[in-house]
Amino acid sequence: MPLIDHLCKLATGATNITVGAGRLSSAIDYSYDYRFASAVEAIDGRQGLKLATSGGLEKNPYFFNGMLQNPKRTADILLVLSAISRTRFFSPGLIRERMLAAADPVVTCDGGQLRFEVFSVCCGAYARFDLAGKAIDGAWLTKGTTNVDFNPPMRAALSSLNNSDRVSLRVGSDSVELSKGADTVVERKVKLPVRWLRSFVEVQSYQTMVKPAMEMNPGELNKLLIALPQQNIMQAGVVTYITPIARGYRLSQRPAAGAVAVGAISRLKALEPLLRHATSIKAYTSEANVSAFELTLQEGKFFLVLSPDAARGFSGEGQALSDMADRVSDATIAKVRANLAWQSKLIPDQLSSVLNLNIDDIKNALQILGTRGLVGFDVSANAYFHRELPFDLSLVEDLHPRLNKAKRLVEEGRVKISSTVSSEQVITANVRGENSEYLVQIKDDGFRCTCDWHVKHEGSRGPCSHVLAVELKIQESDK
Amino acid sequence: MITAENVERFIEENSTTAVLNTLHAMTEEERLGLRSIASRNAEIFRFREIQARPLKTVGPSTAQDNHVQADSNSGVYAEWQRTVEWYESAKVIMLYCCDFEELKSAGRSGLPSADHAFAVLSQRKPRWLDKWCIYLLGSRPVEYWKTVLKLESLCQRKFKHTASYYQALALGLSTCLDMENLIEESPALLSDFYTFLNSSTTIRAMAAPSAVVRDIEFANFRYFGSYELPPITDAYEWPKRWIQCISSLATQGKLDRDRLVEISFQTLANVAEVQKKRAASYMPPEPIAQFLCSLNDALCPDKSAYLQKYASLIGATNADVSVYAIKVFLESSSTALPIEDILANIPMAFRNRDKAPAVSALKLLAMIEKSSVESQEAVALAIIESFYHKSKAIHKDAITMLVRGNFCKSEIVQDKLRCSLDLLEGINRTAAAKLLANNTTGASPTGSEERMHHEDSEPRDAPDLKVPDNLDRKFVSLTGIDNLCEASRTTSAFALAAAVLKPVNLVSLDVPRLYADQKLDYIETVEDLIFLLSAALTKPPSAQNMELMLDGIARFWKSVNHEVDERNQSLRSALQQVVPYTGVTYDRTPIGALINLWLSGDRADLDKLWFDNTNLISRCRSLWDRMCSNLVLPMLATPTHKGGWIEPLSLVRRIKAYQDQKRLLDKSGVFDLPKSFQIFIQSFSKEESPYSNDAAEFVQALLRLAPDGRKEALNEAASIKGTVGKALRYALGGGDISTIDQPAFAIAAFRSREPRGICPIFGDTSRQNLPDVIYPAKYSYNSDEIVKFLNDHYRTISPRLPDFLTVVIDGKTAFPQETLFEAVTANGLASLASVNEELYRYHLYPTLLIHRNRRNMFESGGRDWSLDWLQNKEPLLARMAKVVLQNINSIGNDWQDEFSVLFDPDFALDENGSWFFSLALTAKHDDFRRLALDILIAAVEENRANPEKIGEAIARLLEHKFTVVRWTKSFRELSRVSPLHALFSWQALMSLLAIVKGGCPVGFLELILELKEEYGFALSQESLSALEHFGGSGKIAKLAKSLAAEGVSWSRVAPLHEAAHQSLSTRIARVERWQRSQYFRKSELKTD
Repeated sequence: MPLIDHLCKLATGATNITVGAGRLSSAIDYSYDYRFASAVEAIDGRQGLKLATSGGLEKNPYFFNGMLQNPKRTADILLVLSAISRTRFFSPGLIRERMLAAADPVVTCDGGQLRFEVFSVCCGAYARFDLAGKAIDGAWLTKGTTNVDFNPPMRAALSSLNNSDRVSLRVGSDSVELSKGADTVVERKVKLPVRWLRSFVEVQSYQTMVKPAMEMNPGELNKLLIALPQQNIMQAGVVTYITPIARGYRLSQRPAAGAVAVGAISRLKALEPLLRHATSIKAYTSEANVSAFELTLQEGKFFLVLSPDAARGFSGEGQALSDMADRVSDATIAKVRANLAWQSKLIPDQLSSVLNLNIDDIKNALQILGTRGLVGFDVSANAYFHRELPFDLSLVEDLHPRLNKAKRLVEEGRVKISSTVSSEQVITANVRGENSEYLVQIKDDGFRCTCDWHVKHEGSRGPCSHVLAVELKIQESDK
Repeated sequence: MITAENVERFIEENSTTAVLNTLHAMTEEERLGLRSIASRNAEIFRFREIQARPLKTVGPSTAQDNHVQADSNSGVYAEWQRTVEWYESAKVIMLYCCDFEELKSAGRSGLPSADHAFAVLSQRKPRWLDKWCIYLLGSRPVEYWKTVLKLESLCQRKFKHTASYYQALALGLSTCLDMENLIEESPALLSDFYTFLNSSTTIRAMAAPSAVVRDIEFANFRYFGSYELPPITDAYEWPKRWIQCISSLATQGKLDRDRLVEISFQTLANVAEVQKKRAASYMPPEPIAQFLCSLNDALCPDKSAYLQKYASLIGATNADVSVYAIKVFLESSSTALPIEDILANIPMAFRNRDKAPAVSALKLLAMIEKSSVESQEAVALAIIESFYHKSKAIHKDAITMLVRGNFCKSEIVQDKLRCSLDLLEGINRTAAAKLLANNTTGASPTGSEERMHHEDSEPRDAPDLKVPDNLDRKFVSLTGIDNLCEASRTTSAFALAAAVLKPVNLVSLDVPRLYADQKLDYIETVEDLIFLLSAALTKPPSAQNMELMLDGIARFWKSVNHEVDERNQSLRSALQQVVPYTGVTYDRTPIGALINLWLSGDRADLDKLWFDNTNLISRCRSLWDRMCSNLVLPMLATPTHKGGWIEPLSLVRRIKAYQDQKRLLDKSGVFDLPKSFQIFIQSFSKEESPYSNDAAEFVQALLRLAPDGRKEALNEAASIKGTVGKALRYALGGGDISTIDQPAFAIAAFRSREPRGICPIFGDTSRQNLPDVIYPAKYSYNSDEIVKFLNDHYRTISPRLPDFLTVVIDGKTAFPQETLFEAVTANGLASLASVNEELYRYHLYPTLLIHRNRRNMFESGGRDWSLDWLQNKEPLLARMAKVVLQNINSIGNDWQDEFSVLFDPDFALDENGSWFFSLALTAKHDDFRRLALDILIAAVEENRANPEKIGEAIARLLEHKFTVVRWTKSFRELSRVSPLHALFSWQALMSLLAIVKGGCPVGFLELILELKEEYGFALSQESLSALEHFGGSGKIAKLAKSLAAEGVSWSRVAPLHEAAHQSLSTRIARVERWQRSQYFRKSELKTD
């Protein structure tokens, strides 16, 4: 079964399925080792923004050294980015502090721009800022992906920058200089929640689903946002539609042609401070109610991607995996991976001709590489870009808890295939759960289960553990 | 020497000083010998101290209390003082002999006074001294901070300077009048001072000591069960002391002023990120931002050197910081202001939720405008940014500045003003639009402003609206197309407006309901049924899914062997496991009983069935009965089409199938009723017997009968026997009602054929006062009920809906006749049986039962009433309006019924729908209000709503304290959708104004003015008269006068004509859709 193949490969990184119960860990230990603390301080006699780096292909890479063309605006954008990374739009538990520790942005340097990526604490909002080359003037030193330190004093200093200031930007630092005087090694040990990591790698799949829906001027979006209640009331499951009308746009509770569906729209208020700097806004929508907003700024582009609901993070629920019906071999993935060289745009056509591979295989391979944290997706260019998350993803014990549970169900002999109607490709099975018994049906065009989880999400979040267990069982009997 | 044996006596016989000295003289080993008894000893003396306390001093006491006590009762007081000293000695022994963990767990008993503690520890110098100090500073900072400092100095050890260390220092030093000297004399503190000052914990302790002490009290209360922190009487003075002290030290050069200033700006920038919180009324405020501003002010007497830093703080999220930064510029005498930086930051001040930054920012802009001529354009652009603030007063001031400054000559400013116009409301919007119009330089306007000025100011010729040839005459008349076209040929704009807004007649039975593409997909396999039923066990099914499930059970229940079929295991298991949404054991619900019977053959005791929806449960009973009789028959009332409609021909065939199985025949098997019902039937309602077991099914089917294809079905229904046949034929348009001897059948057939008529039979019976039985329901507005309900604190959980749309027949309140449901609430479930009987009495009258006002605990799972009676939705709408009123101030999601049915384009919303809209548009729930507006927008577009009735309803509701601004916001948004919607809003406002007259809220008047300016609509004569009721010379009176000055003329008619075209095209689209219906005959097309 292709679905289960992909799930297992993604979860374990292995080709063969190992059926066995694994223990689910909610967080992994991670250490940010910065050689200095990021700060706004005097560099060469003028103010300078020094961003400390940690991790990636090099331990502390040195990406860029130059000048900011418009310090105030760049600072405002970085502050919004930082605010999103520290925000929990949905608070179900009391694990705030631990989650906040994981909030340092990831930055990718491709030799022409700096891409900052962050995730909200709740994993439901992903933000990216592409600091364009024209907004910074200086030397590009290396390419790669790393974490950057966004500490509170630096954030405070950022907020005091003005446009009239002459501000330099340094991402990373020269090792010679560091060896001379650096005694401020910053080591921060944090617990990275698996859910947060999983969201980071899975958001790429969701981004491929969004399609451009409308372009509006920033004032129009601002008007909509100021009409929202001051309190961030997150009504579970409430989707609001930004709908075009004769005079601009309005917020509606009803889908309409050309409307953009936004789950828990209060989250959009995170963009408020940036709207006055934006020159245009493009909104993207998808059938799954994932929405994306692209702000064009003089400094580059800012993206905010929102999950369908505040209570629903981009935690890789398997939705994208269900779509990957076609098989793609490890060899293909390896070939595509070998061709990654920090490109800001990975075009399947070009890769196809270079690698002499089917274009669909290339697309699927890129999607899988996205879920392994090796490429990101740019909704604006509608293309992937190369970046490798600086986290050691092998530390994640199990990316898919549902698959884990499914394996356990098979192992304990709780799956019983009751009928296979070959002509219609319908498989019916009974799965004995811990408290109840479930009927599962898998057809060519979908699957269904009688469990609460499936009833609640109706397949929108991918297959439940019972469906996966049936798939596993069938695969086992096919061998 | 103190030993374990003599310790108690030693304490009693010696002073604390003597105890201390004795312990000093002992070796550590000897002291450790007391370790085991020290803790117990301290507890003993603690109890003795408590026992000896004079009564009045129990609890937190003050020195004054003790003094009074000493005077009044010196003997007792002296005795108590002795025990206090003993307890102190016991504490000293503990501190001298125990380790840190023991001391910590002993709490206060291990903690002697500060002097004694210092004396003990300075001599003992334990290895856990650091830990002890940190613990102490966290729990008792005000009393022990000095002890810790002295120990640090004495032991020449630098303890770990944690946040609580700094907090304790900040709090402790605050209490000292000689704070400055203490800092100077403490080298450790002086060297550490900059780090100390840069800590957020320190800042809080300095700026909001009361809040910090309160938090510590809380923590101590949790640990010790009580607290003994010293009362703070001058906490409000402490922050001032700190500012004076730091400033003085900087002036004297003992602290580096530049560094302090740098720290001050850094801390200000930190706090600038944090939004100013509104403290709860019972909590003291935490004025941290004000403290930091004052500190910065004190440290920077000459602010001109830091103007750029202040400029960056103008846009601070914290309102206090923003105001402070702006004030610096307002008071600055510098001639070289960083204008570019100021103007770059000022827009954020206007986005602050507080008003103060915006007020100050406007002042600053005025100042810059005067001082810098070259910045005027940039200043104007910044002024326009103020439109993003929510305050109308800010808008007004901004417009005044724009007018005064004559800024709008620039095209850039004009463009910005044009784009921002929609942020303004009422007079401000009008003033800004006029400003724009006066300054327009000829560039082509865009957006809303275009609408305002590109139209001719003189009325144009009437639009030439024509009835298309391919439309059915009857439909043209029903949709009002002919009326609209005729009105367009008259010269009266008022007549045209009335025709444009006239709702389509959707009540008529000529409105087609059946479309080929709307046929329902029935359940095809047993698996489909299992999945649907399982889903229903998890979440309440929609009305349509409920029908599909019943139909599925009816058709498939026999197709599986329940003993062996594993497919059903999951359902059986789910039935046992699930906590049903009804809140009762699931097998007691109708569906649960059916599943049980199907899966396990369990014939439930029907008396135990949860009685909820009377007609639905009766239908479940009939299915249950058929299953018991081993019959597989389809449900009669299952819809054939979406929307709940049944194709007449299908119903005829279903009834034939029933009669083939000897069902639905006169005197067919009498339902095996529970005893209570049999008694009830005999005693009350002989005429309603026999209770055919399929009667409820039949009645419900009649009420879902589509008007389409009745003639065809009537022919085929000729062979149907008995009363059922007569009733069916009557419903289909034939027969004679007087021959139907079952009242329930006759009423259902009549209501199916004439939903709003008066039933010609049974005129004299007791059913007269039942709405929608003999007589159609008439609703009367009951203001008292709203007052009563709004005063009820428990309204959102009330089992009864507010009956503000009372159904009155012949001046008497009709059903529900009594407060039966309230009685049930009071008496609990004991009265349930009587409720069941009461409802069972009417179980064959679904048209009546929709009028029930029951809700909440008696109405499980959000009962969907939308499919009970399809030809007349007024009772459903009245019910929806009542639900909205019940939850008018609720922000929860639990109360929202299924309102999406209102999007049905053939659902008339012009009667009780007006009450629904009037209430829903002022509901507190933001998403729901938006949904209601969505429905209204759709209804206006489809000509289903009535503006006059909505205006009238709002006018009546205005006597209660509903939030007017929500109404005005909703109408403002509605007006932005299209000219047709704007005209609708206008008409509703005219209707409202004509009724409320001088009582019209200013928000509505402002909106009228906006619409008048923008669309050129004319006031109605009644509204003009109403405006004369506004006396005086205030704002409202001026507004009314300016409106009245316009008279009843249409300043522009182009928007009206645009609305007319829009209305015509939507009406034509409706007719074209109707003509695509299943039973539409082409011969009815207009041919001439």
